[in-house]
Amino acid sequence: MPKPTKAEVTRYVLHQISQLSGLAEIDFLRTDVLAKQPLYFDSIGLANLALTIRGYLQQKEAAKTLLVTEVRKPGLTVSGLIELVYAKFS
Amino acid sequence: MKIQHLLLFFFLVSSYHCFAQDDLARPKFYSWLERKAKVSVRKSFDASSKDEGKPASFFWFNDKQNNIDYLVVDLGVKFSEFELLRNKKSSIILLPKVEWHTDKRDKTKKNNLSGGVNIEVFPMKTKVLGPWALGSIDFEKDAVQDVSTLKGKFFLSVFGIKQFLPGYQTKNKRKEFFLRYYPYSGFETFRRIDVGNLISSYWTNRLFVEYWPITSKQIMKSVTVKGHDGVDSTYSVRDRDGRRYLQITAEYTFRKVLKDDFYKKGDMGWLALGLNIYPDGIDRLGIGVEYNLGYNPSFNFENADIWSLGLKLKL
Repeated sequence: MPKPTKAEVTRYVLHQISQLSGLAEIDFLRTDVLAKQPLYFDSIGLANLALTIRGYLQQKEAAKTLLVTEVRKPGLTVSGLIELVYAKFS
Repeated sequence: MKIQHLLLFFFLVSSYHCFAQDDLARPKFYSWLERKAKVSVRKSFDASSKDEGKPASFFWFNDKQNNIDYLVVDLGVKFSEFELLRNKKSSIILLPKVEWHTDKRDKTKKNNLSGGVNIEVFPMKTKVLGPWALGSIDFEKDAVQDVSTLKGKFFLSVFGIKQFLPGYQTKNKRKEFFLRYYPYSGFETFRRIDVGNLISSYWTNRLFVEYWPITSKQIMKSVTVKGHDGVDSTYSVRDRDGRRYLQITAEYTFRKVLKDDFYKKGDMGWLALGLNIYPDGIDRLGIGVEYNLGYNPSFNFENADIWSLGLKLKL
């Protein structure tokens, strides 16, 4: 399966964050920390986000998996998560 | 309370500004603690969602005129997490932790140190409402009553991704997060290991609610900039951060006794109500008051009716 582009990964991750946080994509920034305002994911929400994206990586036959502990890393931002997910394809 | 104690209190309160800045302005030590040492600090990690939002609390009082000196600390420290089932659709997380709960007041004296492992189980991703489980195995030493206890706990809970479902960051009409709650049902067993083989076990049901009644809305605005190619691009920027100033927490636990050789107290209830004020709107360090009523799980289930006031710290 061809590796998705950075833009595709970005769209997917932003969409999932929007879906799981209940905020429209214009209501949060790429610099926002997942666990802080305005997203306020708690550890259970971050685990669910990680498992959701892990399913996407498996579907796209990514080279590496995504760990819940990686997504729970303190201070992880929206853009940090996009980079993390994209790196799983290389 | 003497004037120097008031000064100390205001010094402690004012000093939190060095902790409570936005991410970009936080001191280096704080970033090191979070990102390198991977340490989290809360009131407790006692078989509950570790982000339930109850901060650690420290309260010290010294009255030299009346020779009263006491310290109240409720502190839980969680270290780096370890993950199992890394390539599956489910996940298991192990969280080593230590906790210290001390109260040097005569009527409520306690000094408990415990260490153990929390376990979180996520069987699947949640589409609307799904299960998750958590448990713990802990060794606890009560230095006041000289009791050593081995504790095992396992709870089931649910997590949803729609407004007002458990675990979801429910938002008001202005899209500000103001409510989150978790229900738990499970089994607990306590084995006294220093004397004989005394066991108490319970079917335990618990509800935790976190409510933020006073918030301020973030303000977003669009900015258009001209690129190198002469094409305009529009970005969203935040004109003002959202803030949360007041946190109310409520927790009720009911333990239905199954076996009672150890504590011999029958069915037990435990209520914990908390009110925390975060003056600059960041829920990291503030001032809080807490009321506890019932059989205290962090003090061998002694019957308690306690008010406490202190600084609240959440890293």
